[in-house]
Amino acid sequence: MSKRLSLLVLFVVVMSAVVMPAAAQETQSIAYGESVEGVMSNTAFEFEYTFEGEEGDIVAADVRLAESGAFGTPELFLLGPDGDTLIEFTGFIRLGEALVFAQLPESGEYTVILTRRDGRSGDDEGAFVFSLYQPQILTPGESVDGEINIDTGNQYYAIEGGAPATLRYSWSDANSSVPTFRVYAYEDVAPAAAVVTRYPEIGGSVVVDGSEPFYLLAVEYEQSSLVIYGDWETEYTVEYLAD
Amino acid sequence: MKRLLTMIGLVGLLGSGVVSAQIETQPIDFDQLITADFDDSAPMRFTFEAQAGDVIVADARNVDIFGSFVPQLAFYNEADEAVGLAQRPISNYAPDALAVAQIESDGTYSVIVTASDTGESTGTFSLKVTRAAVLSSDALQGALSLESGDAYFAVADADGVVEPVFAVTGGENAVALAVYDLSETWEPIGTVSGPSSGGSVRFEADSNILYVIAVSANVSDYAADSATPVDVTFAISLR
Repeated sequence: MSKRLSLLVLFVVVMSAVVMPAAAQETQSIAYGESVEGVMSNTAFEFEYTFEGEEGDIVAADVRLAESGAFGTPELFLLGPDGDTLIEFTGFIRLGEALVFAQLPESGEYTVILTRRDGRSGDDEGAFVFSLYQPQILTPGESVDGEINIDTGNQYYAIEGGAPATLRYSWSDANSSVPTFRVYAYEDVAPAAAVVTRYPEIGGSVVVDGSEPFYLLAVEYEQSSLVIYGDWETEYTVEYLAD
Repeated sequence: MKRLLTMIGLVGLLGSGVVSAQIETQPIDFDQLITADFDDSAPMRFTFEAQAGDVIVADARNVDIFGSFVPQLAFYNEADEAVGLAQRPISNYAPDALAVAQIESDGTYSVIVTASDTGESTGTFSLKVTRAAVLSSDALQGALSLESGDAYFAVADADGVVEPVFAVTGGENAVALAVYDLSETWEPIGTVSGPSSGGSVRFEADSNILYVIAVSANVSDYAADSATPVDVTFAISLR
């Protein structure tokens, strides 16, 4: 190998190390019902999670803080098997939280990209938990009892659209701040409705008109508060009232 | 200094139960949403006729985003004795000040608007006085618009589990319903916000407690020049 060629190879190796820092993007597979932890940093600021989905599946993916830190503005992108973005979350709902959900249009491998605001040039850093859900689909007359705490994260259910539906919610046994029940319309990460009650056994209900293909129902804590007061635990009931 | 002395004098007069002739006074009709300027730190008095048993709700909001005025409300009877409760509620979309009184005898009552601070507050505010209908199983019709402001109802003399439930019958605005327990702070004991079709809050009522139900259109104010149109009709009843 000539001296000039050796220098060229050395130059390419050095430049590769400079312009493509290791771990800028990490990929791992995940299945419904699983959660993975990670740390957003200046050297790892984009994470790819792939999963196999079937046509018609209703899926939700969220990210929440795992520590009281500075990772306050996560962003999520759900990509279809062809790589096109189906839905994205680049706004702000609560500190360190992001949510995307969709009904999958085809079977195949889907990807969720988690990053931070401004990506490479952003400055948010901190530990997080990313979760993928296939929410239980409730039917009229069905009632579910659940529990929410720092380990479970938010809890999601879904109902199919097509007809007006009344959804009732109540909680019990919270030892501090209380969870909120939110209803999200199809592909809209701004909640369409919310129920907040200050005391246990006070219930609330919302009526949705059924004009959307489906609705996502969420029992949510403000996760940053959960991190600070991690012993919170609440039992709740969600009912899909039969007409 | 002169303004401060004037303010102290007015507060003294009100506190002593003497009706102050200096206070600007005007009548107000139920459900009439008025706007007025608070520009000299002087209290403003609005009078109305009420009957025994009426549940009267007054709400006030600063509708001038550049103004420093944060309203404070108080009800007085003909003897200029304070009646009812008045505080600043703690919830989204709530007015800046709420006052509620359950009237014990027929007569002329007034609601006095002052600034929540003693400084030189200025700004434009809206005020509405409502005779809140007591809910029952019979549906009542209501409407929300820029001209009407929030709608108020009451749950009185109820024991056991009750559920104020509303159904949107027209319009496209999202609606919020909040239940205030007047024995509590002014944070609602339950709210349902956002649904464009309807919702409810279910709670165990105590006959010794008066509950006020606020129905609003999820807008921060009802200023006439608001960019958010409000046009909702609804039915509300007690289940």
